[in-house]
Amino acid sequence: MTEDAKILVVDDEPIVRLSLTNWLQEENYQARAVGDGAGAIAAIQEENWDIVLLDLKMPGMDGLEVLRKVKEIAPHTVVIMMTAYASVPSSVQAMKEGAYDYIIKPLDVEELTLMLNKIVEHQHLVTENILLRKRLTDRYTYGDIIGKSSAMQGIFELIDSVADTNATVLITGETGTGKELVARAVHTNSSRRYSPFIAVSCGALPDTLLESELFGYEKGAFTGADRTKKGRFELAHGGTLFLDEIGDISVKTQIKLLRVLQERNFQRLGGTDLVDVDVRLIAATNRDLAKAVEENAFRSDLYYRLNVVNIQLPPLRGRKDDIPLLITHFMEKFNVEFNKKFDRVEQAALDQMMSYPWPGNVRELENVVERAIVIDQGPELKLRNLPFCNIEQPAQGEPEALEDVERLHITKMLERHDWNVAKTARILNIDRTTLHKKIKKFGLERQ
Amino acid sequence: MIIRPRIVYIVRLGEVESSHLTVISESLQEHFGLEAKIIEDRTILPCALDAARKQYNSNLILKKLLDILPADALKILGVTDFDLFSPIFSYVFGEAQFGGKCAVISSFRLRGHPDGKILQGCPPLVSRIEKEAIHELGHTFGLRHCADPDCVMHYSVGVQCADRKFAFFCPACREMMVWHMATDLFLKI
Repeated sequence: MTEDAKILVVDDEPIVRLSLTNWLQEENYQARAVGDGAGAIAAIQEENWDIVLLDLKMPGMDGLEVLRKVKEIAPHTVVIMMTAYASVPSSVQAMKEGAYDYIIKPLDVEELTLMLNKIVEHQHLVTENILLRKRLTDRYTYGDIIGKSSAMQGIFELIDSVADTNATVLITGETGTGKELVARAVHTNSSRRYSPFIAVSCGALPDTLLESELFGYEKGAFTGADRTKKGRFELAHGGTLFLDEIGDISVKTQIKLLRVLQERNFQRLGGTDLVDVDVRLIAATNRDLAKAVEENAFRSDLYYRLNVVNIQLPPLRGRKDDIPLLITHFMEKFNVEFNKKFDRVEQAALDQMMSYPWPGNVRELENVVERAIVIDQGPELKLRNLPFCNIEQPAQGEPEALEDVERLHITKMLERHDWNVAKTARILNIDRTTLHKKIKKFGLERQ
Repeated sequence: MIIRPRIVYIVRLGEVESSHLTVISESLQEHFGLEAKIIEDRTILPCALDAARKQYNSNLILKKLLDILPADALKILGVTDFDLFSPIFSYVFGEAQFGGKCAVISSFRLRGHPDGKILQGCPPLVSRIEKEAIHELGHTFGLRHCADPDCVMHYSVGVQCADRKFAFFCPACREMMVWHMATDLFLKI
């Protein structure tokens, strides 16, 4: 939590709501005010708040009642009680019910400032601690990759042995299996870890744009090239360049890429000078490149250059032992993100998740857990909240084809995030470019 | 483009030492490059007194300052020796209309003691008053609190902490200040 922490003011007096919200906003907090308990509960259900400044005495639902509800819905939210009366018993009661502290009205500006600073600082440390603990090496995790199955343990060993070499790595696997995570793990465990990791989604860019992205261009190289621009190869100098969806690049770009791999230098578009680069290349694809080579759709010499070390990621249906571990991981992740307290999975839901084929792999599992957490309060992840819980008997009008489900889910997420493509792409765990492609493919439009 | 007035009016509210007002006036001319004029008003304070709290309501003073705003005023700053409060806070050193026209400051709590007495060993009161005046006027130009503890726009908890900051803007706030001021002084049409 930073200085722009989100604070909800709950007070029945309009002057307090207005003045306190203005003051908090001037102090760089994001603040909103509501006038009663019902409004407070609605606001807490709607979005996450870091701190709630809650009036103890309010008509209707009083502060203590609201406090109990807030703690039930959002246990991580810090509540400070405000009271016009220095009522020790009710303040002690509030502290017992989970309030962080209480402050007497009219507020002492210094006391309030110090209290808010202390909470912000503490929550910042808590968040940092959670992140650090997550990063601690666990026998079932490797960076952000999780798995206790023998298949994944084998992948971890392979990453270990290949990371600190300069060997080119080809990562293969179905969509959603975590190819970019593996690429990042290779980079962060190599001696190049302090240099850039640059990722390019080759499939998302048209051929000419991909070339200029990879190799950069000189001023005047083409209409609109009003200045010299460095390409991703140059930006990744000293580090790692990750080329995702390598199977989608054109034969022309394949030749250029091959040349860089052989010569370790290249020319910018429209340029004549050779630019030397020291880059480790990691490529990934969900296509069968060997087959593409047989069909002459992919150059064999480039294939062999890329396929020095192959990391083949198993589909999730091939490592079902990891599903409970992944569910726990995603529950913890989304508990923090959505301020929920899910801690177990209904047996029927787990059975369903263990038998489901997961065509979208870990990414699909993550989305399913996220959805189940978003739409329920917990603490148990229920079968009824799984999108495929009635897979054998689809409701009337419910899409059955995966593509239809995808279109519906993307539309829903875009609507939920007010058509903010960057944010929605983050939630869907796909690139912005991929999302743009899907929007175009499905012909989605904002209503 | 319309060029707006560039006079900051400093309003003496009650008995305030003339030397303090002079320092504020000189400081504003130096830091903001604006002409400052000192005027006096005896009608505002009585309207803002809360007899029960024995303090003056800073919100009401801001409203009253707007009522007496001269036509050629860019900003108006009230200065008083009496204790100020806002509806939510037990006391305030000053208050400003964010991005607006008026601000008010009080030297009462700046003296270091809650009852307005000067604490022994305090830095000169006028230095604190000068900082508070620039700080509040900064808010009227749309500046928010600054993270730099040396900057005059830094929010310091307590007067002692405020003593460590300087009476001028950090480079970032200065730049923002110049930008906001240009917007305030020159209305594009």
